[in-house]
Order: sequence, then structure tokens, then C-alpha cells
Amino acid sequence: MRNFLLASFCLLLGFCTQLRAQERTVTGAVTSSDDSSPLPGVSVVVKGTLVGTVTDGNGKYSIRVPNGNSTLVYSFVGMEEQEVLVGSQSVINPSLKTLANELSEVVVVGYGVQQRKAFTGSASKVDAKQFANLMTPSIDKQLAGRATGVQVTNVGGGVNTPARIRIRGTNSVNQANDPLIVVDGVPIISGNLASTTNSNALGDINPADIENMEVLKDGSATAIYGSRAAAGVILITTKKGTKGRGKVSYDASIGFNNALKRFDVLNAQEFVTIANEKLANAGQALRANMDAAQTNTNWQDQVLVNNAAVHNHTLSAQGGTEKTSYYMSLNYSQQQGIIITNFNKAYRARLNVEHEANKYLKVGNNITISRQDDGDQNNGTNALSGAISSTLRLLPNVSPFNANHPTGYNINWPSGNSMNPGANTTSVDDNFTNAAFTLRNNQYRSDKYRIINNSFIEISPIQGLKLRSVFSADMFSDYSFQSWTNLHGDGYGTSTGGTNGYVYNENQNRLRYTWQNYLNYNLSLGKNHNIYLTAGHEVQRDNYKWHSTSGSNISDMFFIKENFITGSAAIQTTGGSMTQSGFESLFGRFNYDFNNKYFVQASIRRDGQSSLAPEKRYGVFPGFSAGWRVSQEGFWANSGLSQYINEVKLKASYARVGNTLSGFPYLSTYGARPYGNISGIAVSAIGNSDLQWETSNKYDVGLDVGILNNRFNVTADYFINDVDNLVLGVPTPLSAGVPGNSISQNIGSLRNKGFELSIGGDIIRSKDFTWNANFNYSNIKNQITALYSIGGTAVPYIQNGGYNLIEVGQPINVIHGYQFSGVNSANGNPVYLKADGTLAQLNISNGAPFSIGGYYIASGQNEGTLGAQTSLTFNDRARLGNPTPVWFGAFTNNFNYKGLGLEIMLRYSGGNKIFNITRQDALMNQSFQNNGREILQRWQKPGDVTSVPRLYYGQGNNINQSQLANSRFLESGDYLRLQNIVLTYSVPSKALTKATKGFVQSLRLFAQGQNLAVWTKYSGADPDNISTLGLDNAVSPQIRTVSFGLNVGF
Amino acid sequence: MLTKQLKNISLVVLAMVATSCSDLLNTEPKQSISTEVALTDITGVRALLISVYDRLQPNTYYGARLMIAPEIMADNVRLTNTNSNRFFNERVNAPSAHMQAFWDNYAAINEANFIIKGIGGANTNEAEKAQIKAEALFLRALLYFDMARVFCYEPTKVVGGANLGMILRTEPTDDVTKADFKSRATIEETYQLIEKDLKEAIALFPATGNRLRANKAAANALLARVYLYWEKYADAITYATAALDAPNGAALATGANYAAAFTSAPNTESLFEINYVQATESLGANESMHSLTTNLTTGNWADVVPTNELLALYEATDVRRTQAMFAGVKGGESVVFSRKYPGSRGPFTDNIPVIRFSEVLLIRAEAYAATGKDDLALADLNRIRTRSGATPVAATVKGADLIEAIMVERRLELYLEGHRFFDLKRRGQTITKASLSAVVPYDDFRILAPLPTAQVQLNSSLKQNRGY
Repeated sequence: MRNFLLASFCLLLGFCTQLRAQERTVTGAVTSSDDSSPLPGVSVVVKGTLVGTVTDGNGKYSIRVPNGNSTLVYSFVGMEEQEVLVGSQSVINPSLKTLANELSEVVVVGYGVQQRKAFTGSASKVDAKQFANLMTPSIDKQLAGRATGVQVTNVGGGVNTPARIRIRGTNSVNQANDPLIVVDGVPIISGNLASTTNSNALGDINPADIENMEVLKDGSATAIYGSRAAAGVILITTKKGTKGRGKVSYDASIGFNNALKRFDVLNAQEFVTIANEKLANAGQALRANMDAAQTNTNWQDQVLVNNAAVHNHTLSAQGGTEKTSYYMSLNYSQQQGIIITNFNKAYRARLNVEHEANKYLKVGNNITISRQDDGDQNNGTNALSGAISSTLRLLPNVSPFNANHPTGYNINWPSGNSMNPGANTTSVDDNFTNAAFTLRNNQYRSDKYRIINNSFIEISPIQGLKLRSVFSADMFSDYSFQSWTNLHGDGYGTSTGGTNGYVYNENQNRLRYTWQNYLNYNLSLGKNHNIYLTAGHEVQRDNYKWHSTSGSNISDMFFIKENFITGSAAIQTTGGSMTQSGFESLFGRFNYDFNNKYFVQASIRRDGQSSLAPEKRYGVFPGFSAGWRVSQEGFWANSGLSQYINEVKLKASYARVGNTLSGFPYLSTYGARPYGNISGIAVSAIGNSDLQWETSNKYDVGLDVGILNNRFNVTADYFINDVDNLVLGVPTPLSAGVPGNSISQNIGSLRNKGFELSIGGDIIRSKDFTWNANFNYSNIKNQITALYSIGGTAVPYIQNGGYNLIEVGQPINVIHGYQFSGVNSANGNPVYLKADGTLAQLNISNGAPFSIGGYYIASGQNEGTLGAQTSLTFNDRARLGNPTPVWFGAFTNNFNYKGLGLEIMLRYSGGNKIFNITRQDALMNQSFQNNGREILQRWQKPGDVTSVPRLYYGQGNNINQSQLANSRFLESGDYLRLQNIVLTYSVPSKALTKATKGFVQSLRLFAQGQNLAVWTKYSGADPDNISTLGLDNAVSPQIRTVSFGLNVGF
Repeated sequence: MLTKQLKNISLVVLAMVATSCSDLLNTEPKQSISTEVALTDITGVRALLISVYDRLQPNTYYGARLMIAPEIMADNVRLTNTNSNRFFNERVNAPSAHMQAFWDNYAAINEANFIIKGIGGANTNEAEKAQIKAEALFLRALLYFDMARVFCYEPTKVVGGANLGMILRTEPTDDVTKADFKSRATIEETYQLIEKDLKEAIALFPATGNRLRANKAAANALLARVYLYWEKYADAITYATAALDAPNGAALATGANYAAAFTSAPNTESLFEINYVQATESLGANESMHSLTTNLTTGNWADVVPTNELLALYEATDVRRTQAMFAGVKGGESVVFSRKYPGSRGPFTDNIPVIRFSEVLLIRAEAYAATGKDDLALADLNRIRTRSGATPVAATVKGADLIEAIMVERRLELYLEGHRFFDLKRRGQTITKASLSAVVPYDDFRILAPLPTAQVQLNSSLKQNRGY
């Protein structure tokens, strides 16, 4: 769009060029001050006249100027305008600087663009340059810290797991909280499309193809997206060709992934001590022994790899003629995860073409085609073959290998259901499987194809008016495969019993098509009145189908290597399903500004949605905003202040937007329920035909300030999101037999309010050295404000699983559990504080196994005698903490010295509590399994002061209060992370041109490190390894990536 | 010129908007059928009936819990030293670990109510209407009876005046307004509903039927069991006799075939048993009876085993010990496993017998003994002992001793079929757990299951059981 505007501007200029007397010719080449590369398409105009030209593909120009008093004005989108007095020069080679001035940029908004200075909503722009040098398979993973109000959590180290993105807080209890992702104007399919592997739908967009991203946050910016705007909108714009000489570039980087932090578990000798102490305390025979070879296995070495290879190659070409421009790219990216089986390979191609048929008509097509191959593993948090859950528990004094077993692995023979105990008298409790074997022999794969095509035609019948019709199809196909060997692990069995090998195939097929027809009309009335209108219509249809086949009791494991094979499985099952949904919308937006000083915007969208009852199907979502550029007022310009503070803009907005529902919640539905081999059906949900969208009332006030001619920029926003009509399942009595025992109603409400601040600018700006710093901070507080009533009484809370509550007055999913008050130093019992202030100790030794509960009143923390029997009840649980980070942000510094650049990005987050289930269930277990090293601090004898209770075999569930939260395993989630260090070197272009005879235009070398360090008190693998409930349960460690790369421009 | 162009363009745009069809939004759900579609036709009613059977299958009901919990909460079953933690709390009768999940039976009852109400207008012949209605009535009675056993005292054995029964619903919840908050009926009313449903079902059923579905013999037998719990012995004798005289193809298994009977589907003795198909209904390596009670498949939990006092009751020649049990080792411990759930329907899959010929004989024997007809009682009892290879009970055993002998026989015969706890409860007897040196007296509050806490909180007119 910008290019188009520029082009038409240039075109006009061309028409008006006239010859004059006393002219002479000035020539030269325009370069970019960033990397000295030539800039094609720069407008060169003689000031005060309409005489002008445009630089060619090599940045060269030639212009005839009237005389030596003429001034040439060089301007280019995204660059600072430069004026040069011609004087006696006949050659002028200006170098243009990239605009640091945010306020003069354009903002991509829904169905159009706006000048940032006229933009009255709240949006954060993320420029592609910010992550251009980073090794990344998809952009969601790079968003963290880039924008205020946008909280991005990368959970675990899976290379194919999408990041969790929350824009201005958690806005729904039961419905989606993920932002709407729009690429080149069209909402695409996004999220984790997992079947047998995690699968990141955003991975189909090559980050190198992205020009910029705009995160729309407040109501007025998002209202044009109506019923889908509650969780915010991310607009992604891909690259377009620019006119002039074509440019080809090749980007390559290669690097290594490593675990940022591994789990700290016992070694063999420590394990023997601890395991035997557990058993001895429980009066059982000792089982653990060191073997003669002093075997000491670090199971993490069997599951996690060091220096996993990553590489990424993009070849792109762009350019254009007066009429046609193109951008194309080819990409191959390979990411090996830190778990041996985890990988993502992406093959992506894009072609963006635009053609101006004549001055009225423009057509274009953007297409991206991609294939992603994913590899994964059993990630079950309690699974016996779960990659992390088993690794943490397997016995360190047992070898993973056994030369005498046909497979070479330590597996019992002939029955392979468990491992050999080695020198121990029994194998690992619960038969956790040999992770070294299962990870190498069980497969979780998928290969996916995606085509996103969007074609448009744009008609400009009169000046300022554009009519645009866009048709887009987003097609996704996934072919997944999973197999388990019969020898050991999940698929273990023989032809007479057990699973005996398992194979599973699934095919997913998604299609979304969207058709948008809209107009943009720009009208200036007189000098001071500018009007910008947008209006249109959009339809969207989604189809989703899948089917699956699985087989077990496999005749020969040969048949489960690559795919399901007909007739190879004694037991075969199939499955399948289909869903459809549709949207139809009308929308409009009106912008008016007076004298570039006062701005107002109003927008409205009417959405119709298939998931609601016909009479409730349509909803109207309005948005309003206003802005005032104080700095444009006479009093400001005339005051001394304007010299320092050149730009001040105040803005305020309000909108009412929606959050869509999925499925058909208005209908009572029946689902399949077979008995024996007879198929049956039953009520699966009772519908509510009154259901509507969840609605979000968004309020925002903001301030944009430019200091010292925009050398520094400050943006601040305060917002409130009042969400009401939350869809909650209101309980019905079980005796009514209503499936799920609840009926969904629009009934609850919650509020997010917060503050965002971003300060940035050039601290040092000299000819050779610049230091640019940017700091951003967001603070978001969430509170549930109302739930439903039953029998006229308002329900104060809803339990959400064993660990969390949704409670009025508290942040969503507040962690809720018993208060651990320490270990009784007299007897090693854990002691808890009851709600009435008394202490209750769990009698570890004879409290179990035969008496119930086993809690006794303790008259003091270290009272050795058991008082009266008591119990811990629901009312003894306290609100332990907020699971969602409250404050977060980043501090980024960029240093540039000549061609050398250094970026350091620090990211921080906190204000939340993490409930560490990994510690509670795995690392501190009381079974014959390995432990974390924290257990070495256990209570051993009277007088020991510690926070780790006495060991007692078999009592882990009671001692650790498994499945419930307690403050012993609750930890702070605050952290500071060294997110990136990027070092770049641009070879000076003159030297380069000379050396390669102009063949190579630019060459940049870079080295980068991502996620290099995290400073936190959190004891788990990573404070980002949390679910939305604030729970960390056996998630793989995070990845640290170090890579090196180059970028060559031809 | 320009205006003409503009006109044309706006026409094009208009056409674009107009062509976008409004039926875009009228998508019907594709993976589920809406209510109106489902019950308009007899096929829908038939299919809904199947769902009621389906709801008997989960491991939380007949699939495992109803088979094991009544054994381990009494004195027939213990856990091995190394175990999966399943039934860990049930074995010490912890208040939190009863069979309170049976409150969920209301979902199935609601479906039965839909059928009972809707079948009259269905487009089929009277014979099928009668069959479907009878099955639904039988199932509703079974569902209510199982809940009543768990949550309520028997009508004749009420402790402390706690005569509350179940919430009784006989109308389908086809509308949100019908999901009202009701209070519990009395136990007498609950039994009356069960009795009425079964009598109506018996009248509607044809003489014979599929033993994997509800049938006349099963309805007679279940009603006999209900009367036994109700201590209406004369009625128990009448309906047990009706079931034994017309057993719908079931028969007392021979001694030689005792264990083998548990591998045929249906069991030779089953009047009604729950059918499982391995591919879609297997309860798997973690929750199936096969995994919990046997070591026949590697990787089984194999931690639910008979108590020593039960084993001591079997005579050495008893086929129920020699055939239907076998010795094994679990975690270094020598134990005895049952062969009643050998995985005969495929890996981890067995049918579950709900009511067997032997039980009906024992019901009649107990009812005879309770009404002083000791010789008839002895005959029924010894039919079972004789075929099992056990010494017949002597004719000198009379009265209370004879009833006690019948109770012992029930332990031996119905092991792992979910009866012992209810047998002690209905007779008001103390549970003695020799292996744990613990007793649970009949008046202990733990005899009844707690109503789900959330339900009591939700419904202020719902009275919780004593002690919870």
C-alpha cells in the first residue's frame, strides 16, 4: 500500500516535470545509512517545485536543477527526509537514515492503514528487523518482550509447540484467549493443531517473509474485528517488492540448541542411600544396591541431547517495474529439539505479486506454500513412558543398556514389561519404562501441507477511493503417524496379551475461505478537514474434517515403521469427525481529523455467527476513540517546551467487542454411545438457545510523547477491560441427569486493568556510534468480578481442578491449597496451618497405611506428641497466589559502531506464583524411584531443622499431598532473562562492491544467542514452563540457542 | 464517464455482497445430532436405549468398582503389598472412598425416562414398544437399586431414623426448567418405585430374550434380590422361583465347567450380563477387572486378591478354589488370583455378570431359611455345594446357623461379583477385617456413602447422610 502511494506520487511528479532555462544536471547515488546499500525508488525533488525524479535500481539518479540555489529533497518511505543545497556540486550522494520517529509511521489497521499520528487506538508495532537475525522457526516465539501488554509464554523446549500469547490479560474463563491472527488482511487458522505431535500453525509463515507485525490491543483498534476481538488482534504484513532493480538475498544461519537448565537429580550413590532410607523408615526390606561396575546413569543424557543442530536458509528475490512488483522466497528450516525425538523441519515458499493494470485497477496475489515435518514423543506428565516423567524417576544405579538383550537395551527378557532391576532387588516402581529405548523406538510424526492464497483486485475509480475485493483460501492438511513397539513401553505385549504393538494414523483436513469486499475513501475538505472512511462486507467459512485408523496386536513390528498397513493388526479401530462454522459481517469505520490536531474515530461491526441460535445470531460491536495532538496547538508551539518536547498526543477510546463461542452451544446434541457391538446415541449436551458472545468493554487512555525532535519516544496507556457475559457452566443437580451436569449461560464477569509504558530512543547519536535503548513495562491485574447464583445465592467460587479456584475478588485461577508450616523437628512430620490457627501434623509413620487421613493436632511446630486426631478440610485451604504474571517487559539496547552492531535484550516477568508439581509428584516422590537432590535435606533425626519431611516409602501421596496444592511446593515466578545477544557486522558496501565488481551488494555476518540465561529463585526447569493455571508438571527444559549466520544481497 | 464507471463498480460490489449466501451461517452440527432429529424415529429410541446399557460399562460402575469395592470394603478382598493405589482407601473404609460416584446413575436414569415417556408414540409395532419399555424399566430399576444400596439403609434396617431414599425422577429432563432441586424420597418410596418398575417390566417382557440385554428372567431375579434386601421373603421366593423355572436359557454350570463358564459370553449361569467389545469398550491395562484381579497378562496390576480368611473357607476340592483360582506371585508375595476375569473377550476385556443362576438359588435358599423352610433352603444351598465339589451342608444345620452357612456360601460363590459388603449391610452385621485387625460396626456412618459434596452444596433441600 505504501509502495503504491509512493509510486503514484512519483508518477504524478513525472508528469509535471518541465524543462527550464539555465538548468544543469546533478547526478549521484542515494544509499541507506544503515548498511550503505543503494536505495532504489527514492524520490528526488527540487524544493518548491514539482520537478523530480526517482532513483533507479542502483540508487542512482540524475536530475536537472534550475540553478545553484536550488535545494534537493530526498525522501523515501521509512527514511528521514534529507535536504541538500546544490551549490556548485554536480554530484550529490546522500545517505538516508531510517526513521526513528514512530509517530510519523503508518499503522496497519484492520482493512486499511492509517498515519500513526492520526491513530487514536492502542497498537504496538513489531518490526521484522527486530528478529531478522534470530534463529526462529515461527514468529510467535519471538514476540515476547517486543510489545507492551503482550504476554508471551514459551512453555517448555518443544520446537513445534506454539507460544501462548495473551494480549492485555486473560479475558475469558472457558472460551479461547488466543488473539486473532490476520495475515495480509485475512484471518488465518492458528494455534496448536496437534494430533500425534505438537504442531504450530504459525510455523507455516516464514519469519523472513514478514515485513512487520501490528498488535492491536485496545477496543477502538480491534472493534473493526467485532466478535473476534476480545483477545486482541495480531496483524502480520508480508513483504512486497519495491520498484527498481531487483534484489536477491540469501540468509543462512546455523546453530545449536541446548537445554538451558537440566533437572538436578540424585546420582547412583545418593539414590541408594535415599531409597533404602525410605524403605527402612517404612519397615520394609532394603532394595537398592550399587552394582559391581558402580553404574551411575544420568538418564537425562539418554533423553536430552547437547548441541542439537538448527539451521535455516532463505533465498529471496524482490523487485518490480513501474507496473508490477514481486517478492518471492524459498526457505528451509530445520530445528532439532533438545529431546532426541523432537524436531521441526519447514519448507516454505512465498510469492507476492502486485500489478497495476492501469491507474484505476490493481490486482495481486499472495501465496504461501509450506510443508512442516514434526517429530515428537510421549510428553505425558505422569505417563510411564513420558519423556520427562520417566527420566526423572528412572533408577540411576541401573544401566540403560544390556548387551545380552536382543535390543541391546536394559529390558526384562523374555517378558519386556519392565526393566531389569540391576543390583537392586526390584525394578523401578510403577514400571516406568526405559526412556532410552522407548524414545528411540516409539514414533510420533506428522507431515503437514499448507497453502494460504489470497487474491485481490483493487479499483480506484476516483481519487481517494479504493474498492477492494479479497478472496482467500487457507488449506491445511496433516498426515500424522504414531507407532509403539511391542518390546517394551506403551505398546508392550505379546500375541496372547497386552497391546502388542500399536500403530495410529490420522488425517486432518481444514479449509477456511474468506471473502472480503470493502472500500477505503480518503477525502480532504479544504485545508483542515480530513475524512477517512472504510466500509465493507466479509464472509468466512470453516470446514474441519479428520479421520483416524489405529491397530494393535500387530503381527510383525516390521509393519509399523512408517504407516498403518492393511491386515497387519489383529485389532483395528477407526474414528472420524467433522465440524463447520461460518461468519458473515458488515463493518464500517469513520475517521475525521481537523487540522492534524483533533482526531475522532468511530467504527461498527455487525457479526453473524453460526454457533449461535438463529434469533441470537447477530451482534453489533461499536468502537469510538478521540485524539488530540497538544503539540500542534499554538500555545505549545509558542512555549519554550516545544523545543524539547516536540510531540504530545492524548487519546482515549472505548469499544464493546466480543469473544466468539465454538461448536453449537445453543443446541442440545446427541453423541455416539455404543454397547457391545450395537451402536447407540445419547444426549451429550443440553443447549441454551439464549447464549451469546462474551462481551468485552474496553477502555483506554493513552499518551504519546516525542522528545528532542523524536529522538526519544514515550508511550503510556492505561486500560480497563470489563468482560461480561462470560460463558460459564451453571451446575444443574446431578439427579436431573443433564450431561455434564451443567448448562452454559452468559453469566460471569471479570476485569483486567493495567498500565503500559514504553520509553525508547537514541541515547548516543553520533556519526559513527549510536546507542539506542528501549524499555517497556506492562502491569496487568486480573480480577473475577461475578459468577453465577444458585437458588438466589451468589456462588463465591468455582473449583477448577484440584489446585485452582475461580473466585470472585481474586485473579482468575488463583492457586488454592494448604499452608505448609514446616517440618516438625522432633519427628520429621510435615505440619500444616489450619484455618482456625491450629497446627496439624501428618503422622507419617503410623498415620499410614491403616488410619484415615492421619492428621493430628500439634500443640506447637516442633511438638513431638500427637494430639487429637484431626483432618484438613477444604476450608483449611488458603489462597496461595496468582498464577498469571502481573508485570513483564523488556529492556533492549542496540549499539552500532560503523558496520558493527550489538543488541542485548533482557526480558523480565513476575508477580505470579508457580505451583511446582514436577517437584511434588516426581522429584520428591516416596516410591522406589529416583528423586531430586532437594530430598537430601530430609529430616533424619530429632533436632534436624529442614523443610523436607521424613522419608517413608509408599507415603508420597500423603506426605506431598498429591493432586492438591500446598504452599510447600509454591514458588515465586519472578525472573530476569537474557533473551538475546546479537552481534552483527556489515561489510562496508564500497569495499564489497569493489571486491566483487558489484556482484555482491551487501554482506552481513552475525552471531546470536537466544535465551542465554535466566535469573530466578524458581527451582524448577524454567519459570516459563507453566500452564495457564500456573502449574509446572514435568515439562521439558527450555532451549538455549546459539547460532551464526550471514546475509548476502545481490 | 467517471460516474458511469463508478456505477458499474458499485454494481459489482453490490453483486459481491448479495451473492454471499445467508445460509452460510445455517450450519448444522456435524458430529452430534440435535434433540429434534434424534427422537423423532424409532431408530433414535433404540439407539438411546443402547446408551443406557453403555452407561453400565465404565470402570467406575459395573466395569470394576461395583465388583471390587463391596468386596474390599468388607472382608473378601485385600490389596497386595505392592499395589497400584487403587482401592487403597476403600480397603480401610475411608469415608471419602465409598461408591458415591454412583450418584452419576441419574444420567442413565434420565435416558431411561426419555424412552419410557416417548416409546408410546414411536413408529413401531406394539411388540417392540413393549420390549423397549420393559428394558428401560428394568434398567431404571437396576440403576435406582444400585444407588439405594450405596446411599441408603434398607427399609427394614434403618439406623437412627435415617430413612431417606433417593431423589426420584421418572420424567425426562427435556428442558432446563425441569432440572429443579428436589429432596430425597424415603427409602420405602424408593423401593416401591423399583418394585413397580420391575413388575411392569416383567409383565411387558416376552418369555425369552437376549441374556446380554434385559429380559424377563433377569427382571424376576432382580426383583427377588430386591425383596431379599427388603426382607419380603415370601415375594423373594416367588420371583426367584419364577426366574429359576424360566431362566431364559441360563443354567447351573457343572463343576467341571465352572471356570469355563466365565469364558463364554454369556456365562452359562448369567441371567443378565454386561457385554463388552474389546475394540471399543476395553477398560484397558489400568482399570479392567482383568488387570486388577489377575496376573494373566504381563503388566497387569494384579493387586486385588482374596483375604486369607476367605481362602480358608474353601474346601480343598471346591472347584471354585481349584478351578476358578490359581496361585501366583506379586511383588515377591505368594498370592492367589481369581480366574473369573481371564480376558476372555480380548485383551483386558471380560463380560460382567450382573445376576447369575447361582445367586438366584442362594436368594431363594436364604428366603426359605428366613421363613423357616430349612429343608427347601438346604436343597437349594446343597445344589450349589454339590456341583462345586464341596461337602453338602448337613441337614442338622438349622435356623440361624443355616442362614450363616448360606451367607458363607454367598462369599464363596459370588467372590469378586460385588456382593459381600451389601450382604453384611442388609443384614445389619459388623464388618470384621481380620487382615487389618479392624471392624466397622453396622451403625458406623461409613456404612453409607456420602452424597457428593458439591450436590449437597448446590441443593439446599438435599440432605447429606449422617456423619458426613
